[in-house]
Amino acid sequence: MMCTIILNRLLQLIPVMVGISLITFAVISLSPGDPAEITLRATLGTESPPKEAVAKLHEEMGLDDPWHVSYLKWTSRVVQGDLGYSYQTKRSTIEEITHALPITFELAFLSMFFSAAVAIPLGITAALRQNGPVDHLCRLTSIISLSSPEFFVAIVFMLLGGVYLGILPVAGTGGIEYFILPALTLSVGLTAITMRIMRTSMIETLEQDYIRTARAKGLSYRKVIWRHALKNALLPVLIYMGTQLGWIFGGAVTIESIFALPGLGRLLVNSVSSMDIMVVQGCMLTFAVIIVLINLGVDLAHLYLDPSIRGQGE
Amino acid sequence: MKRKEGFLLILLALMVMGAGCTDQEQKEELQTLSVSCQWSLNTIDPHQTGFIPQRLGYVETLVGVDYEGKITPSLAKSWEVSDDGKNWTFVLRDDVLFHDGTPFTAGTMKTSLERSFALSESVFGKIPVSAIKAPDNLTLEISLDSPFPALPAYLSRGESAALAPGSYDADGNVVKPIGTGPFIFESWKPEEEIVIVKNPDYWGQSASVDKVIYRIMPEALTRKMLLDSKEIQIAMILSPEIAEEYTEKTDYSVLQQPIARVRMIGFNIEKEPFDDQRVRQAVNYAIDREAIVTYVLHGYGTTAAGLFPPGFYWANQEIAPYTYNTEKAQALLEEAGWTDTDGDGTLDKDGKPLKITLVTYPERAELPEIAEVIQQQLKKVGIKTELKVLNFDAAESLRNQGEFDIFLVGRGLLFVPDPDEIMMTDYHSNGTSIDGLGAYRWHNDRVDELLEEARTTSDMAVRKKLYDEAQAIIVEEAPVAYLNYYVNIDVTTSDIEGYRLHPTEYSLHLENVSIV
Repeated sequence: MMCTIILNRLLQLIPVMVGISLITFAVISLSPGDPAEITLRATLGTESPPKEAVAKLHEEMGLDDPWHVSYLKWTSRVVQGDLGYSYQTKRSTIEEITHALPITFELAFLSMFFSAAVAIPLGITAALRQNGPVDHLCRLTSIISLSSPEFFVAIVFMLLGGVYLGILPVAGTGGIEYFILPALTLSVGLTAITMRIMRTSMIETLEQDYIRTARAKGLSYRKVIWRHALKNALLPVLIYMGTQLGWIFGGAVTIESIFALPGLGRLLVNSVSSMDIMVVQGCMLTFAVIIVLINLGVDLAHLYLDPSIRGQGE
Repeated sequence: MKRKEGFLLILLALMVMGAGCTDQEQKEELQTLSVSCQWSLNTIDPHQTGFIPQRLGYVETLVGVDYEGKITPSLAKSWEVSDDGKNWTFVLRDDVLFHDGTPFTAGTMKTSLERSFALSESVFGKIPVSAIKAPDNLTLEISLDSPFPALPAYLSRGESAALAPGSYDADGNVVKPIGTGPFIFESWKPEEEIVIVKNPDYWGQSASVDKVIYRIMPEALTRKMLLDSKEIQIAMILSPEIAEEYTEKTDYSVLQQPIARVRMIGFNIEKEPFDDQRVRQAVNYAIDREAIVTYVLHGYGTTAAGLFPPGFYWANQEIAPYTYNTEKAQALLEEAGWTDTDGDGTLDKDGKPLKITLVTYPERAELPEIAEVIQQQLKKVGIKTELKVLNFDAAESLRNQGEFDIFLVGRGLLFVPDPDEIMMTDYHSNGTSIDGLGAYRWHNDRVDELLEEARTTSDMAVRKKLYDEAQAIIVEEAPVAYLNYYVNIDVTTSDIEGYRLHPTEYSLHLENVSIV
């Protein structure tokens, strides 16, 4: 049963991927700059590749064909992992992306970790002591942190950690310490929402019949929370955090520029501002694929963790 | 057991502390300078991207550029050109070694230059070069198909740097740039940093610091934070707002330098009202240049009289600036027939009000603000201005179609440190009659003549005279109005000595910098 559902989900991906590829292809086709010339400049190591060579590659890449033929040729190149070359660095787009991707992943997972570590305990505490001081404080901080733009939060963290305390590097790359401030910055908005969701979910769970039953049969409050309530209350929070991973990748675009991390977000900003079209297409596709895969992963995890959904599938 | 563990822990702590101490001592022996800028290096090959290698000083070119924007000897001691202007002979220094110890000769320079010309055609494509020869170890001859007096200026571009044969791999790609400069290239991490170390065998003045780390930080604010946390000693290219914070602080110094980039307005001289020279001059008098610098640019700008900033060799220092004078402006407008007959505050002539359109673009953030100030200032003399702020491409195409009265633009002047290029494209009738950003459809026979004559000689003093006259005519006839020059602002910690900004951004000259 599980297999058919997974298969179903995978099949649903096909139209999504086709849509993404069409959009990316359109962006590339409408941008100025000749992909054939860019490729030859990079591979031949000369600034003005011979006209005949450009014309030949034009034909091979199908740049002068009608758009659907051109699109099919482009897709087959992309599927084979040929994403062209950066006209700026003369390196292949794949090379650029494999260099940048681990940095963005490290940033994303670290900020997920920070937000989970802060939001889940606080959310639970707020739920258990509704309208207590912790609850009020959490509500206040989540409103403040949700309404502060990332750029501002980044500066506050830089000032605190890097300038006043002087314990963390302000910006740049190196060991894990360089990721702490940017990951904290990214986690702020996420923490605020996760905390609220954790609280609501916990409150809802505590009102369920089975909790009352557990209490009635004489289990201690502590045991009920840990053994029965938490597991069920965590599920929506985990699902939410999964989908937010994509949001974090989006946030990386600003954060990586401010903290000078050479990740995927900065690569995208750089390539867009210099009209490095082959890299732009590579970044767009990578971002899209990552977000699609994350959503798929979340769906599957949901399926695994929540048997009631599986029941619906049947 | 417990006691043993505690003892071990103390031992471990001592060891860590000990290690920390030796680290500290080593750092004190080795002087490291950290600087930060937004410009990142795209390729390790200086022949493709040369400006950062050159600014950092790990490569050098045949000729240099001094603080007046004048061409000076560097790897070439001297040079001369044949009477027909087609054969250039450069005499090279005999005391130069590459960083790997190989001697610098005319032969290596020839190979290096040929590679530069092939790889950076967008920079050197204009040079009508026919052959490069190295008759002996210290003589380099460049033959041209036609005279080209700006040749030395082009050869000051970092892309023409001398690279040792050991810089390339078997396929001819640069694996490690081995140059001749005061610093030796050590490592590069794309989008992160470049590390260079002192060259103890430099032919000129040796560097005072042992190591320089050039950190790439795209945001000015990040560079400011790094400076505040003392992670760097020099933060380059900051905004006026950021720089203002440091002017009061004693442990920092703020440096500013006008660079070869002017903000100016071009008039549409093909239609009323700016077909009349008096109206163009009136606008020149009606604009309060000081106010723009003070209020829009926070004081970080220099008001402009002519095309080039006054510190430049090529600037005509005699040009009298148009000073703010609304009475003069009104008198000129009246002379041209524009008076306020209906008393509505806007001048008119033959029943038509004096309404103009100012086109500019927001990519340079200060331009729309300046446009608003100009709008207010022109209103005071009775000119009604409509602002059109469009993205650069759209603004440029409006300009090229003549759909404007005034075009406000920031214009780079010295792509190479020689006035030929900018004068020919922006003020010679060949350049003004086609699309561009200079004087719009303006034509002056005398200026054409002067600019052409300046191309036939390589004598700097003679050329300067010709360009001076041309600049004076341009200011007098006013097809454009110069407003102010761009200013680069760097902030250093106060223990930095000898750091100076270069007006053409040719070099940081970090070899002159010391940490006290």
